[in-house]
Amino acid sequence: MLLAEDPKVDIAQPGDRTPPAGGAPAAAGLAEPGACAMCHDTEAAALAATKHGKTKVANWDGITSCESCHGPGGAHVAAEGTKETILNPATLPAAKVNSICLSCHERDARTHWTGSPHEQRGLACTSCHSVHHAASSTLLLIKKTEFETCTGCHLKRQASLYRSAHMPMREGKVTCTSCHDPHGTTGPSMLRQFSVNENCYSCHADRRAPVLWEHPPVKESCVTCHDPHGTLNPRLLVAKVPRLCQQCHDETRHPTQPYSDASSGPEFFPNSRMFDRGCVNCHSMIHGSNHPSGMRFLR
Amino acid sequence: MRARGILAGWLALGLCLGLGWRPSAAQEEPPKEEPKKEEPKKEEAKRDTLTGEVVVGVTGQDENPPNSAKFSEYREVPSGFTADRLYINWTPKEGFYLELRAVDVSQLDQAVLADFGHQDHWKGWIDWSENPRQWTDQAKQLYAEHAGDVFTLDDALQSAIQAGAANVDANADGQWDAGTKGAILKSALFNSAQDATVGWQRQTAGVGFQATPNRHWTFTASSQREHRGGNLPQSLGMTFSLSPSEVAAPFDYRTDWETIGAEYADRRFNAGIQVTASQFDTGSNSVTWDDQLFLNDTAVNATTANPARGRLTYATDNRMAQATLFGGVNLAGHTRIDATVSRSETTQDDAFLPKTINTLLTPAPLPQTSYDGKYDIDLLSLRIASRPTTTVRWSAWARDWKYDNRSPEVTFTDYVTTDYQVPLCANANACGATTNPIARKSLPYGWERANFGASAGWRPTAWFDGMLSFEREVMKRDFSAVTKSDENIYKLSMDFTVNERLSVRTTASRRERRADEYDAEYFLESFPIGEQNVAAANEGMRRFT
Repeated sequence: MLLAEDPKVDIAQPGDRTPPAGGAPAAAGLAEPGACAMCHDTEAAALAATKHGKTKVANWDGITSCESCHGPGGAHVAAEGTKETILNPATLPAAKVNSICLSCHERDARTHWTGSPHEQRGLACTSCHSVHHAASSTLLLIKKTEFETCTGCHLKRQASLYRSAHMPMREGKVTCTSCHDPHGTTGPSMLRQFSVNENCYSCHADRRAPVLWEHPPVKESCVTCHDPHGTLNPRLLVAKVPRLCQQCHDETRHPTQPYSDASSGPEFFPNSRMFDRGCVNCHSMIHGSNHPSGMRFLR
Repeated sequence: MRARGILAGWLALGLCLGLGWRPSAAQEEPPKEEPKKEEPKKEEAKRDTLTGEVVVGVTGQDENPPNSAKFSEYREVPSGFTADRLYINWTPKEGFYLELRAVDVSQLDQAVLADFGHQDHWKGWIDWSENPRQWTDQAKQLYAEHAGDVFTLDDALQSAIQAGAANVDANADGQWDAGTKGAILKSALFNSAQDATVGWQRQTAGVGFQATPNRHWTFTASSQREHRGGNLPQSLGMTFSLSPSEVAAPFDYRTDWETIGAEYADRRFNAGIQVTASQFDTGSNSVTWDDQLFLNDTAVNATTANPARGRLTYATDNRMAQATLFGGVNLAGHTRIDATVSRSETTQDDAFLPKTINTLLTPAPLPQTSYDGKYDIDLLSLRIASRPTTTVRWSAWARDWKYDNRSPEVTFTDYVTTDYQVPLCANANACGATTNPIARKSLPYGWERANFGASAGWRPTAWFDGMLSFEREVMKRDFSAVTKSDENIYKLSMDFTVNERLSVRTTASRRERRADEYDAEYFLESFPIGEQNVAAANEGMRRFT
């Protein structure tokens, strides 16, 4: 969900990743320790149960606790809690919210957030995470599960995953982040690995080896033939065999029209190229063969 | 749909037990006194809390067994007492924690995670998960399974089929006539086939550790082992004996992963290195099975050399190692540059199987005993992104990914695809276009994808966001009809946020792809002695000349 926000809000300090010219700002204006919880006891109690509430690590400005995200609260306390005197990420532009979070989290998986598709489309960290009121038991997500969080926007993927051939996602055995990193990566489609195939090999290492007789589209991209989000065909194939194969292989050897073994009678007898696994009935090593006589992936 | 009946009949009795043990005064009401009077450190040091949740219950089905294996394709649907979920959080003292999470305990799809550590200093985790994959619960096969992934048929059946008449349906009733090979085989399937299990169990165990000695450094190490074992539906072509078959072939895969990493982060930049190694071991490298149509290897003629048994390869053992350097730097003006450099190497050296196990054939010796395959993957990625004002953003990127296949080109001087090619002409290369054993060379396929582009976005108001981007992608391939292609991608996105519940996102894109370099006869390289007529007949790829 894209948050309504006011782009006119300045995205300068605090929480800005850009280093200040004169070094870290002074800690002036900070509220007394524990002052926040005196009024915001519900938020403080919820935060205390999380790692955000337990950490003693300060941000780069040397500020810890509530003020590391909400900015110095001294003026807010002095003004008896007026909204104008404190940062409220819920009303800030996405870029500003992200800047606050990244002041600590810009490392590891968040290295590639800036410039990533989600960042460029205006998502904030709080589009998916809730620091104070997370619905999930892990990862501070705004929805109960990761699947619900992602499919809140990616409805087409949600529909795919309810097809007959699907990854075990709705059963909870894999999640979106098993393959994708929503914080941005250097791979296509924010895949965790650098390519589609490397991503697939992380589970299907049996397909990883270089073999004597390669099937080029297999080595180029698994999604040439499979749709990992779900299809209506066996084995997550994007089309039924033999039509899938005939998208590239046509005319020679095996003609493209359906044909039978017994053409004399009125009945139609689909031959071995048509029923069950179609072409793969014989070309069973379609992912590549290491057999000396396996050039046609027959063995 | 009967599966719905199962769901509707699901009897669930959930019992939630909330555990809350507070031997110390750690979780008392937050102090209302003035902040200055707080001295939490000494008191918190005594903190020892245990919280948790246990969900247990009884489940059942109104149909047993269910009519659809699809319902339990990836999970166990238990009957009786179940421990659905377990969560325990233990804080032995200030800063230390242990979290234990488990779901579907003792079931085929159980998962357990233990997460423990010292806040801000180090953490560790141990996980175990399982899940089944059930293809069907109604499979049958005529074959008997033996050690070494060998599948045999009853000799009498093979003999009867071999002696049977050719398939014919004289009365056109849609059934093979009695006494024909097809009728005999079909009858055997109905009357003698045994139940076969087609499915597997996946088990994954992992352990990891992460240390953060200070604000800047993070060190990680992790290891994972995945085991997948069971039976896979394996189609078995008999290399043109017109008797394709299928068995539930056993497999026993094991994959190990080891990763170590280190990262340094500062206000201005972060940089890290990660090294990964992985090993895959296949439990079996071949499947051998009896031909349904022939009890014994048959004499060879111009078009057939019917083998009594067939054998095909399975997955091959392989090894992978990868090193990655990554980092980013923040510049003035809300600008960031990030970069990644990576290199990996994957190898395998499994021994070749013989060309054929047909006892009547003596193919030429193999040029080498194993493949010694190897490929590298190189990645270079660079990106700059900036938000110079509150309403404007832009980014630019360049990325090069290369699959460098360094496997050898192996030449088989008398290559044979099918057994009946073996005895005809040796290596004469003059016996006809489709049946003679000719020289063939393997073509190790490789490719490279370079991608670069830029985008600019504008968000003048809270309800509108627009973005324009251009991207160019260049592909280069070894041993391919399209040896080089490029694609220009133009994209315009406009998002309208009506309110928090409704937003309209639109994208229009235009793609222009062209094959800059096209070689319709690239595959002739696979024929070292240049049999163009053979090549033209053999290759079924769509091509344009």
